[in-house]
Amino acid sequence: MFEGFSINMQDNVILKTEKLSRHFWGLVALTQVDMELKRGEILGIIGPNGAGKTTFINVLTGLFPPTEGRIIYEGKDISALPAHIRSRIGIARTFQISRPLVDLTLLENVMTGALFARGLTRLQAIKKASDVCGFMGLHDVDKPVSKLTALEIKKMEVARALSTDPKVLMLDELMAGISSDEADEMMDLIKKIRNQGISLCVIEHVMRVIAALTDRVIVLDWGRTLAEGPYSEVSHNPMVIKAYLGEDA
Amino acid sequence: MKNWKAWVIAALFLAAVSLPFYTGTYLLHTIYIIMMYMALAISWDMLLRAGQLSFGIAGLFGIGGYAATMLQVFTNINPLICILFGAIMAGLISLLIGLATLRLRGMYFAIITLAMAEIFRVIIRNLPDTWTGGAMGIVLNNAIFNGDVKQTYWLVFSILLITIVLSEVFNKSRIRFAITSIRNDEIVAVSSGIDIFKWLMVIFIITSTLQGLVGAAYTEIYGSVNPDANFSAHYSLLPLAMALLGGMRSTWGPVIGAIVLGLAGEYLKLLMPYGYLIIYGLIIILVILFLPDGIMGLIKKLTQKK
Amino acid sequence: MQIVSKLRESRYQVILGAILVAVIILAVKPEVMLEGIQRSSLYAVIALPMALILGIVGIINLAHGDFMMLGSYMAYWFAVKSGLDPLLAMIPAMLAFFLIGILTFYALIKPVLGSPELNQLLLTFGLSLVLEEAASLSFTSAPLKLSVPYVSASLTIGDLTFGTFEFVYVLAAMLVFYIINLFLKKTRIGRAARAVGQNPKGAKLVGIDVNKTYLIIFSLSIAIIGTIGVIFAMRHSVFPVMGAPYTMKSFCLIAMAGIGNITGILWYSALLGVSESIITAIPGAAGWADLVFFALIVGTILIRSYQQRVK
Repeated sequence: MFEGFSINMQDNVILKTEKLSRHFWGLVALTQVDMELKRGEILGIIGPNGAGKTTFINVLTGLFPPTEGRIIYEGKDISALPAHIRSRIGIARTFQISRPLVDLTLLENVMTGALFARGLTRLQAIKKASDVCGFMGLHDVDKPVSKLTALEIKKMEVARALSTDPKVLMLDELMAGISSDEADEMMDLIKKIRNQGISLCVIEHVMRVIAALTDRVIVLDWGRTLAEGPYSEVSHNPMVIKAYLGEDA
Repeated sequence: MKNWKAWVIAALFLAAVSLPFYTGTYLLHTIYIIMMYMALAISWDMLLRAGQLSFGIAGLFGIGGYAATMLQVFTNINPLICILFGAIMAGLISLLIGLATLRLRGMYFAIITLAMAEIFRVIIRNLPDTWTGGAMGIVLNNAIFNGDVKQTYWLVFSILLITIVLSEVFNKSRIRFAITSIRNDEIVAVSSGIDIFKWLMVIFIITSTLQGLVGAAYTEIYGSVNPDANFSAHYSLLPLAMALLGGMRSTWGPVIGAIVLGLAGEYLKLLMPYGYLIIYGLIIILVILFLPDGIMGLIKKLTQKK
Repeated sequence: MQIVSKLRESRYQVILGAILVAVIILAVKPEVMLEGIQRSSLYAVIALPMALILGIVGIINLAHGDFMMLGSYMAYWFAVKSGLDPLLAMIPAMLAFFLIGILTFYALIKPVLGSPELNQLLLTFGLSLVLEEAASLSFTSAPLKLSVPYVSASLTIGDLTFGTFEFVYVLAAMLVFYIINLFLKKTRIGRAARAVGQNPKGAKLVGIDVNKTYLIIFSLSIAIIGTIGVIFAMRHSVFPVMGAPYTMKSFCLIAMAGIGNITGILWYSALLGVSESIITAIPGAAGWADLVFFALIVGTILIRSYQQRVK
C-alpha cells in the first residue's frame, strides 16, 4: 500500500516480516504475517486470545525459528540468527508472565542485559543499570526479587530489556494486572522510551492504551493479519469488531 | 565489617600453609585426603551453580589419573608435569562430552554423567593391556616426592587453593550473573544476550579439568592406577554429599561439608568398615528433604532471624 | 502405488531397513536374533514402568533398578526358606511392592514433587544408594544364584540351540505393554493419569485427584518392577548393584523413544537388545557390548539437538 509512496520510506523500516509463518506439529500459530515497524514508531499488536501475538514475538526474538517467511532487521535477513545474538544487535522484549531472575537483586537483574548484550564491564554495567532504573522510577534497587511488588517486577523487566541498549523493544501485555494510575505511569514511560529513538511493538488488550500510545496497529486473528492501520480506523473495521476486539479499560 | 573476614581468611591461610610443620604424619595425611574431596566438592558445586547436575566426577577423576600415570610410565618426566597433563586430558575429554550432551541439558546431562564413570571404566578395562594395564592397572616406580608427606600436602593444598580461587571468581565476577541467569531462567538468559551453550561448555571444561587435576595428583601420590579404584563411585558420591550437606551454590558450603563429612567419615570407617556408604545416601536424602540449603543455609536463616 | 509413495517417507524406510537387517541376522546367525529378542524384551519390560512414572508423575526414579534388585532378593529368600518354586513369589511380591511403593511415595516422593528437578534427581539418587548399600550390608555383595531346574532348559532345532526360559521375558513384555495400554486407555484411573501427565493443573481443575493419581501410578510401577525382579532372579545372579545398569539402559530407552511414547520403547529396546547381541557374538568384542546403550543415547541427543536447531 505504501510502496508507491516513496523509496525513502523503506529506509525508515527497522524491522519487518515477510510472509512469516510458524507451525507447531500441525497447529498453525502464525501464517503469512507481513509486518513493518518503522523507526521511532509505536506499533500496536492486538487480537483475541490465542491469535498468535506472543508467538509472533517469540519468533521475532528467535525463540522459535520461522516455519516459512523471513525476518528483516535493518535491511538484513536475520531469520536464522540465534536468539542471543538478536539480543545483542538491538532486539529486546519483555514477557507476558514476568520472569524475574529470583536469585539476583533488582539491580543485578537489570545488569544482566548490560553485561552480556552490550559486553560492558561490571562497573559500566552497574552505572547503566542504575541509570535505567532511575529512568523507570525504580528505587531501592538492592532488594531481592522476593521483596518486590508486581509493578516493580514489571518495571524491572522493561529496565532489563532497556539495559541491552535496544533499537527495537517489544512489550508483551505490560498493562495486564496493574491499576489505571499505574498504567498511566507506564504509558508515560513508554512515550519517553520512544523519544529516545527506540521503536516499539506493544501487545495489549487494554484498548485505551492502544488508542493513546500507538501510531499504527496490526490485528492478528488465528495467526493471520486481519487488518492494519491507525487504531481509529481499525477499531471501526467490522471484521475486527467481529473477531472480538477486546475489552475497553 | 569486611576487614575481619579478610583477617580470618589470611589467618586460616597461614595456618593451613604451615600445618606440616607441627602436625603428625597420620593427621596430615587425613587432612590432605579431605582437601582432595573438598576440591572435588567445590568443583562439583561450580557446575551446579549453572544449573547442571553431574554424577560423573569419578569419570574425570579417573581420566586425569590414567592420563598422568600413562605419561609417567611412557616418558618418566617430572611428575608435576604429568599431573598437569592429566588435568588437560580430563579437560579435553569433557570438551567432547560437552559438545555431545550440553545442547540437551538438565536430566539428560545428569544421566549421561551417571553413566560416564562406568563407561570409562569399561573402555579402559577393555583396551589392550599394553596401553592401559587392563584390569590390573599400572603401578608407578615411585610416588611423587618419594612419598614425602609435607610436600604432598603442599601439592594438594595448592590444588585446593586454585579451586577455591576459581570458585570465588565464579561468585564475584560477571560469571556469577551468567550462571545464575542460566540456572534461574534460560529464556531470560538468552534475552540478555547470553550464549548458554558456550558458557556451559566453558564451565564444564573448567570444572572437569579441576577434577582431573585432583585425580592426577591422587595417582601420583599413591603411585598406581586401576580401573576399579580410580573410577570408583566414591569420587562422585562423597563430594556430592559434602556439597549438599555444607550448602550448595557457595564456596564455603562444600568446604564445611567436606570437613564435617571427612572427619565423620574417618570415624565411620572405624565403626563400619563395610557399607558405611549407606550413611552418605541417608545424608543425601535427609538433606534434600529437610535441609535443602545445607548447613550454610541453616546458618543464614539463624543469623537473619536476629 | 500407496506402498511406493509410503516408501519415500523416511520413517518407513527405517522400518523396512530394520526388517531387512533382522531377516539377514536371522538367516546368518539365528541365535543372535533370538537372544536379541529375549534381551530386548527384558529391557522393555524393565523400562515400561519407569516410563510410566516419568510420563505421568514427571520424576525420574534413579532407584528403579534397585527395586528390581529388592524383588530378586525377595524371590531368593522365598525360594530358599520355603523350598517352593520362586515363580510363586510373584503374587506376594506384587502386593508387597505395591505397599512399598505407597510408603516410598509418601515418605520420599511426594515432598519433592514441587522441588526443582535437580533436587528430585538427587533424592532418588540417594535412595538408590541407600537401597544398594542396605542390600550389601544385609546380604553381602556375594552374588546369589537360585537353582531352578527348568530355567536352563534349552531347545535345539537343527543347528540352532537357544534357551527357552528367556521367552518368559518376551511374554512379560507383551503382557505389561498390553496391560499398561489397556489401563491408560480404558480405565477411568488410567485416563485420569494421562490427563495428569499432560497437564497436572488442568487435570486438577477438572476435578481429578492428582495426588491420588500419582500415588497409584507410582505404586503400580514399583509393584511391576518388583515382580519382574522375581522372574529375573530365577535366571540371573542376584547382587546389590545388579539393578544399576538396567536403570541406565531404561532411561536411555525412554530418552530415545521420547517421554510418553510407550510404543517407541518397544522399538528402541529391540534396537538396543539386538545390537548388544550382535556385539556379544563377535569374538573378542564381547566386553564392548555394555557401551552400546551409551553410544545410542549420545547419538540420540546429538540427533535431537540438531533437529531442534534446524526446525
